[in-house]
Amino acid sequence: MSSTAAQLLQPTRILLDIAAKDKNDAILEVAAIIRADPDVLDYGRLCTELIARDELRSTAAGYGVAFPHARTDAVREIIIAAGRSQAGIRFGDELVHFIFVIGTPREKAGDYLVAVGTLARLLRSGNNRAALTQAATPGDFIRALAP
Amino acid sequence: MGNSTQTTSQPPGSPDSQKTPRLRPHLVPLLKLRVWISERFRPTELQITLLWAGLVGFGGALSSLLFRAASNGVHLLITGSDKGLVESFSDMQPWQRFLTPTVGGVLAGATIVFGMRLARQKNSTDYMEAIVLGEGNVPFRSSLVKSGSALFTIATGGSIGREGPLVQLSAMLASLPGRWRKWPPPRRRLIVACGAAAGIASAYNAPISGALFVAEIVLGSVAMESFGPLVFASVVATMTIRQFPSMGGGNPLYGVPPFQLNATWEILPYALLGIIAGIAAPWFLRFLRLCETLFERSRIPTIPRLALGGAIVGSLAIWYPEVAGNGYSSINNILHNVHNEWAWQLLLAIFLCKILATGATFGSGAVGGVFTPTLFVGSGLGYLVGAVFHSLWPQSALTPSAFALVGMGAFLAATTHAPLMAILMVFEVTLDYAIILPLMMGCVIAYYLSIGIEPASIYSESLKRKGARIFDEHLSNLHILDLMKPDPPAVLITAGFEEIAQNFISHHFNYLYVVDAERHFLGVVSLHDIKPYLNEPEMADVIIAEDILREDFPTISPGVPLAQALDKFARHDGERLPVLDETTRKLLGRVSKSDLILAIADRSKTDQTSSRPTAAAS
Repeated sequence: MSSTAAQLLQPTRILLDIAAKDKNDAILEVAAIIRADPDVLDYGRLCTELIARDELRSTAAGYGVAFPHARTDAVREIIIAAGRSQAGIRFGDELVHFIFVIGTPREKAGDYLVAVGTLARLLRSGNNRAALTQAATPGDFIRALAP
Repeated sequence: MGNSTQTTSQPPGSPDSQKTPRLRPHLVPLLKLRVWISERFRPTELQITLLWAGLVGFGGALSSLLFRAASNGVHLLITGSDKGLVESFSDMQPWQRFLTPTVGGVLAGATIVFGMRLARQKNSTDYMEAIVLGEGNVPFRSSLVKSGSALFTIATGGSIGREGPLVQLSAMLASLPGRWRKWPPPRRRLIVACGAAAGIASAYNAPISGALFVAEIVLGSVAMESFGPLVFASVVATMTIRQFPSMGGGNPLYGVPPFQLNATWEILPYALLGIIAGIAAPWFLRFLRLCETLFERSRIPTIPRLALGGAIVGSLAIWYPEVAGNGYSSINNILHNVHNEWAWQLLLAIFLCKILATGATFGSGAVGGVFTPTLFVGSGLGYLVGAVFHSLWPQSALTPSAFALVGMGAFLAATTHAPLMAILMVFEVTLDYAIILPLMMGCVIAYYLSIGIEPASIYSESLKRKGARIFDEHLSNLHILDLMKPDPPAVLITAGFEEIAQNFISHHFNYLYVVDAERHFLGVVSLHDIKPYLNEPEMADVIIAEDILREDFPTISPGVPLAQALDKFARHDGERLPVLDETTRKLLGRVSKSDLILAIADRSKTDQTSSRPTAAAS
C-alpha cells in the first residue's frame, strides 16, 4: 500500500529546502516543481485551486505535515510533489515542516483518498518524520517513506 | 432535527483557525456497521414505515383495551352490574331499563355539547369507523370528545358499536408520529389507515378483516404498497389483544356449531339468502337515513335529542332487553339457537326492535360504530330465512345457524360495499372453514344486487360529510412540493470527515447533501465512496466534504408533477432526491421514492372511485 504513494513520489518532484516563509508562497514553490510535467494540463489553474482549497479549510494535518490538494481538471493523472522546510511554515496555528502538494483529476476522488490515506499513515509516525528530516538527498527522502 | 446539522459545520472563513479533529475511534465500527446494513438490507422508507405500522398497531391495541376498560367501568358505575349489557338489562326493573339509556343519552349529549365547544368544531352524525384520512391528521380533541360521548352511549345500552371509538382513538394515536416526524401527506394517510386497521382488528380479534376493512372502505384499494403496512398493524394489534385472556385470548369472537354442506343443491338456498340480503340491505340504509332526517327535522337540541334516542331504546328494552348494546351477545344467541331456545316469533320481534333501536340511536345523533349492529341485523335476517327453509325441508342439513352466518356476511357486504372484507370477516370471527362456499356465494350476490339498488354504501354519507373527497381531489394534482420533507440534513462544503461520519450514523440515508453557507446545493457525499477508507482513520485529519463531493447528483424542482418525478426516480438508484429551488438552486427539502409511489397509488385509486358509483354518490 505504501508503495502507491512512494511510486508517485519521484526524486525530481522533491524540494528539500523550501525558501518561502509564507504559507501560500510555500505551496506555490512546491507546486512549481511539477510545472512542466506532462500530466499537468493547466498549471495556473492548479495553483489557484490549491490555494482555494486550503482557504476553504486548512490542509495541515496536525503533526507538522500539510497536504495542499485540489480535485481539478487541470491535471490528467494524480500527481504529487513534496517539499521540506527545516524552519517550518505557519499554516495558521500550526508549524508545518513537510508539504505534500497533490493534484487529482475531478472524477478520481478515490485516488486522492488512497494517496492521502497512505501518506497520512506514514507521516503520523515520529520516526518516519525524523528520517525525513535527516534525509540528505531526494533519494533518501523517498526511501524514508518506502523502506 | 432536520436542519440541526447545518449549524454543526463551522462557518467558512478564517480557515487557519480551524483544526480538523481526528476521527474518534468509536465512530469507525459504527460507520462500518452502517455500511454493512445499508448494503445488505438497503432499507427503504416503505420498510421503515412498516416498523411504524407495527408501533401504531401496538398503540391501537392499547387504546382499545383502555376504552373497553373505561366502558365497563362506566357501565358498572351507572347500572351497578359488571355483566354484559343484555344480561344486566335482563336483571333490571322495567323503569331501570327505560331510564338507563335515557340518562346515557343525556350524558352523551352533554359530552358533545360541552366538548365540541372546547374543540370548536361542529358536530354531525357520523359512523365513527368511517375514518377520513385527509392529509393524515386526525383531530385530537374532537376525537376524544366523540369517543367520550360514545363511551356513555355504549355503557348505557345504546344500540351502537364499540368499534367506532376504537377505530377513532387508534387512528388519532396513529396520526401523531406523522405530525411529529413531519411526514408528507401520503405517508401520514397510510399510517392513519394503519391505526384504523388496528382498531378494527382489536375490536373483532380479526387481523385480516381489520386490514381489508380499511383497504376496501377507507382507501378503496388493495395495492401492496399500502396493504402491507395495514396487515402489519393489524397483526401486531391482534397479537397484543390476545395477551389479555379477558378479551377472549386467541378464540374467535363467535363460536359456531359445526356445519357442513351435504349435497350440492344445498348451496341454492344460500344464494337465495344472498338475494334477500342484497335487497334488504339498501332498505336498512334508507331506514337509518330516514331516522336521521326525522330527528333532524324535529329541531330538538342535542342533549334532549340524544336522551330521546336513549328513551326509545329504553322503552323497547322494557319488553326486549336484547336490544341493548351492540348486539354481540344476541348474535351469539342466534348462532347457538340450535335447540330453538328462541322461537322464530320471538326472534322476529327482537329483530324488528333491534332495527328500531339502532335507528333511534343513530338517528338521534349518537356517535359510534354501525358495524356490529349491522352484523346483528344480518345474522337475524339469515336466521329467519333459514328457519323458513328448515321448516320446508326439516330432514335436510340446512340449519338456521349456518344461514345466520351467511346472512351476516351477505348483509355486511351489501351495506358496506366491501364483499372481500365481509367474507373474511365472517370467516375470521367464526373460524369455520366449512361455511366459506355458501358465504362467498351469498356475499357476492348480495353485493351486486345492493349496488344496483343503492349506489351509496353505509359509510358514503359519513365520509362525504367529513369531507373525504376534498382531499381526494387535491390529491389528483399534487406536485413534488406537497410530498417534500423540508430541511433535510446537510453539511457545509468544509465539513470534516468526522461530521460526515456522524451524519451517516445518525441518519439512514446513503447520500449526504452538501451545501454552502446560504444552503445552495453543491452535491452529495456517498456513503459507498467513503467505505473503502474506513480502515484508515488518518484520513479524517485532512478530508472535507469538498474532497469527496459528487456534483452530478440528480435533483428535482418543487413544481414538477408526480409522473415526471417518477421518471426521474426511474433513472436513479437512490431512495431520495434533493428538491432545489429552480432559479436559486437552494436546497428546499428532499422527496422519497416511497412517498411518490404512495401518492401515485392514492391518486389512481381516486381516479377510479370518482368514476365508481359508490363514492361519487351524493
